[in-house]
Amino acid sequence: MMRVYRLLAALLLPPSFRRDYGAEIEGSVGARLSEARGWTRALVVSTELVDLLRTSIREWSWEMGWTGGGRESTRGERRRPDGWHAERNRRVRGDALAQDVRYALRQIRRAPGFSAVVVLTLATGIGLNTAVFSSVHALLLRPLSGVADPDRLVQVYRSFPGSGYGANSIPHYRDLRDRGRDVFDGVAAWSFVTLSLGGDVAKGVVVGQMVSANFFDVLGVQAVLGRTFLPEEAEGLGTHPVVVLSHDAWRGRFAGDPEILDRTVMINGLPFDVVGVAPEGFRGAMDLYSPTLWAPLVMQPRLQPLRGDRPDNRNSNFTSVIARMKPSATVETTRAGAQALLNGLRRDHPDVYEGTGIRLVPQNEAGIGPSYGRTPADFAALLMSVVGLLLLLACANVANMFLSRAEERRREIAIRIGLGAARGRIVRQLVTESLLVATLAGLGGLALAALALPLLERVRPPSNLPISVDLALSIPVLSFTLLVSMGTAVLFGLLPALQATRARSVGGLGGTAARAVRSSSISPALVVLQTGLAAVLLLGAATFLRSLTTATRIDPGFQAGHLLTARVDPGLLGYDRATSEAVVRGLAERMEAEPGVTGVSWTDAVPLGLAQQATRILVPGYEPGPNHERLVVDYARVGPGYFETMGIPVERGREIVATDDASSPGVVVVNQAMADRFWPGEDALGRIVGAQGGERVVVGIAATGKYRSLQEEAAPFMYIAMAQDFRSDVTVVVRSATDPASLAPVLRRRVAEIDPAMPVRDVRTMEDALGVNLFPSRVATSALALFGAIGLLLSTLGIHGVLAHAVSRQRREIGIRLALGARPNGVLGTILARGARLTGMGLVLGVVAAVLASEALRGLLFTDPLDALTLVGVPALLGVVAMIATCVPARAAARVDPIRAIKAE
Amino acid sequence: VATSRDEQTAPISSQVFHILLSLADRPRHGYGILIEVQDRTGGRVTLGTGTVYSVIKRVRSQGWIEESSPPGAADDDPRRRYYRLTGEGRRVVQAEAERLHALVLQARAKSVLPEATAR
Repeated sequence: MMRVYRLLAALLLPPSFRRDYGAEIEGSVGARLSEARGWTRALVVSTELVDLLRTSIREWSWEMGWTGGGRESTRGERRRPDGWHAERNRRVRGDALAQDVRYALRQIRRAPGFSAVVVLTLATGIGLNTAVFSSVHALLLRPLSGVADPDRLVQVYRSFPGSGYGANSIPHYRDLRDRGRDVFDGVAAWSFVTLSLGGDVAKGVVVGQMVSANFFDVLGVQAVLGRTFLPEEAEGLGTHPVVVLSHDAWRGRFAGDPEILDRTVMINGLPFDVVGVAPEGFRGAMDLYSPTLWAPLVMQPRLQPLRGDRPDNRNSNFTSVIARMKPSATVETTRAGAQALLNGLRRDHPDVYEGTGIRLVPQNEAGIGPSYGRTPADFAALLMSVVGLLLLLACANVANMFLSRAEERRREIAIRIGLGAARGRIVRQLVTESLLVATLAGLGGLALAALALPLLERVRPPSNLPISVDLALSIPVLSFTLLVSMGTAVLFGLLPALQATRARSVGGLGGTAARAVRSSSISPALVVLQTGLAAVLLLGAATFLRSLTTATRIDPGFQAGHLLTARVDPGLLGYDRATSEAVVRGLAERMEAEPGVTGVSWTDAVPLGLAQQATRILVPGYEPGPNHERLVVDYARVGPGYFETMGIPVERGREIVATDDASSPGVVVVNQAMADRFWPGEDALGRIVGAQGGERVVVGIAATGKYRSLQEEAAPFMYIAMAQDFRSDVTVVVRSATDPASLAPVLRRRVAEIDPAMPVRDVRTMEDALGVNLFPSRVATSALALFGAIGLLLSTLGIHGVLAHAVSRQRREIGIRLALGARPNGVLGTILARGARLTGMGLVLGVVAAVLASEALRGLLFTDPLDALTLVGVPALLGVVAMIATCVPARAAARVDPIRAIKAE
Repeated sequence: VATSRDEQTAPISSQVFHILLSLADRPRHGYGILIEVQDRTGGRVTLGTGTVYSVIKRVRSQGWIEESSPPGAADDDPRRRYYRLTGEGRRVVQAEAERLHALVLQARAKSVLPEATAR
């Protein structure tokens, strides 16, 4: 709240007043706010905001000498005779400005409806732009927060054939760090880790990060309490049970305990000493997530006891790497240095580095991560252009309203010119009006954005990672809004202003003679523009909607209905492998006994979930293709009965069963795509696959489904028996004959019966879980649908406004025609035809523009960008709405009373 | 600059009056003024923070109040600026109070208000 106030104060108050009293004002408002609670707080907030607005008006008018006792008189008059004219001129000019503003205010008050519609229309455009720009800024443009000189940081990835931005292994990282002293100023590694936090307080599952001991040094971050990690904490696997807490965790979970450094926290059942607290706003090397704590990377075996990641294996890639460039280096020289490093490593370990590369992504270009490719940027560009179009639409509307009003005011202006007002003065007067309206709209937009941002912050993928985007209105965003709102003012203010004064004749007084003002050439153009823009927006919305419905109809390769999923991880409680297995099996047995449950199994990677994994395999007899084809396939470990429970058809052979355990030979079920790739035209059953440190016999072939995304092409996939390669972090899947959601509380109870301390996460139906995959599409669709609706509303208003205006201007002409015997229906037809012509032109332009723009959307869609139905249906709908908007003024025209119309002027 | 008698006795706005009045017994900072006015009027007059400082600026330039050292009370906040009434300011607030008092007397004379109870 204080941020908004500070921002507005900086924006609104005159600099001199702010310099003298700004700090005190903020202090006082802060004090008032901190003492108020609940609804009184809301009262204080609104009072203070209104008061701020009043104060700014009062201070500015004082500043400009508009109100009595202004600058001149308080300064003590020291008027030299020769300076008198300059002084007088300044006063006169100041008075003129004051007069302009007062006059403009009076105009606004005199037509409150008109002003309200203009301000609201513009505020909507500006507000949406600000909100979207704030989000894009926070997600893609803002430098890493809380670190020193973020622009000198680079993210380092290993690249493998088929995956451009892969993770790094610990030995690989160590070599980069030790051999790369001439290339980098420092190299740090980090990795997310899910932890069970215990002890007397602050229980629960949290997401932390394991980081190299130099992590904080490389990022240039000092602890606000205690210390960060020491150089000796880089060595000695499992021997440094220490953590640095995030500022938020310290303030929240530990209530800002000043004695926090004396405390010990229990992580996965082991005591860790709290050695430091990170500064506020620091969130590690990735802004999107806010980890609760950081622990040394050497603690990995203790933090993830039952994970396959091995800190001593050069091929066990599980950490991210971030490095700081040398002060003298550029990205290019650093890239060259990194390549030389890799060449050295390839000489020493040819088997590991064959076919792999190294990739550097400057932190300021990384966005939310390079592995997402262009999608976030495309998505952002899409949203920005859509709201940009909306603003344009709003501007067109407002320009139109001003245009028609300027004509209504022709008389008034003619009188003022007749009385000797200078043309420049009148233009300035009208521009002042627009600027005032734009300022009001800018403030309204800012308020709208401030209201929308907390809502936008809640839009997040259904995932357990602690995603927290700090969507604050920032200074760049603020400048952007101001620019937009001022640009808008010029756009719609200048045009009608100049037009209104081009009527050199005093004919305006006479009424009809001033028909010389051919402003009618602009209004129709605006209607065409509006209709076109609305068509583009609606076509976009329709396309996304169609894409989404298509996506929900794509067969994922399993029966998603009637499934409940839940994640448990006995390993987090410090259980060993045997006990963990027993816990999972025990839970499955208890669930199976529940009425309505028809099957239970478990896996470490649910299809289309976020945690997908790939592994390198060996296929005896298969000849790798050229270009170092790497034999990497996605896989999941599954419990017995998995295929049955999930409803994945096993086309040949058998599925994984309970007897496939550690004591029996290794087995694997492959999907059809994998069988086709490695044993084309042959029988895959009985073949050998080397994977995860063992040879496994293919015992079954399953139907090919979707694994990473619904859009993907058929991809090889294999299922390993969980009992032969155990992981404790599993998702239990339960098939029920009834509503799966009703089993959720039962499942939680059963887990608690086994161990009350065991956390259960992500309890949800499979259909909800699939939402993760459809999330970007859902957001795009709802955003575009909303924007399309606003666009439709604006353009309907616009079409109606222009035609109504045209009709009222032609009353006399229509009256004469009627008097001469024209039939009312004919008049109606003429007006309707004009509306149809304008709308038609707009629709054609809109469709053409949409077709051209649609190619850019391809990556975000599940279907082809535009289909015939959309291309015809949307313009048709828009056409109907436009015709309804046309009918109202057309009927009014047909009912014109000839006598009155002719006599009126 | 001499202030004419007329200017001194010209009515001042109720905001200015309340703010000057709150400084009559001791120096206060801006927030202190706001709270004092609120408490004294039982919450019927709540000034906005911006208004308080806007008035402070104006009456300072009139020479009615001036900056002062903290009065030395327990709740002092050295980070804030304190203001106290000048002799001129005291005369202004006094004149306003007299004007208001005169108004009350006139209202009584017309029986709009009951006679004053003994005070």
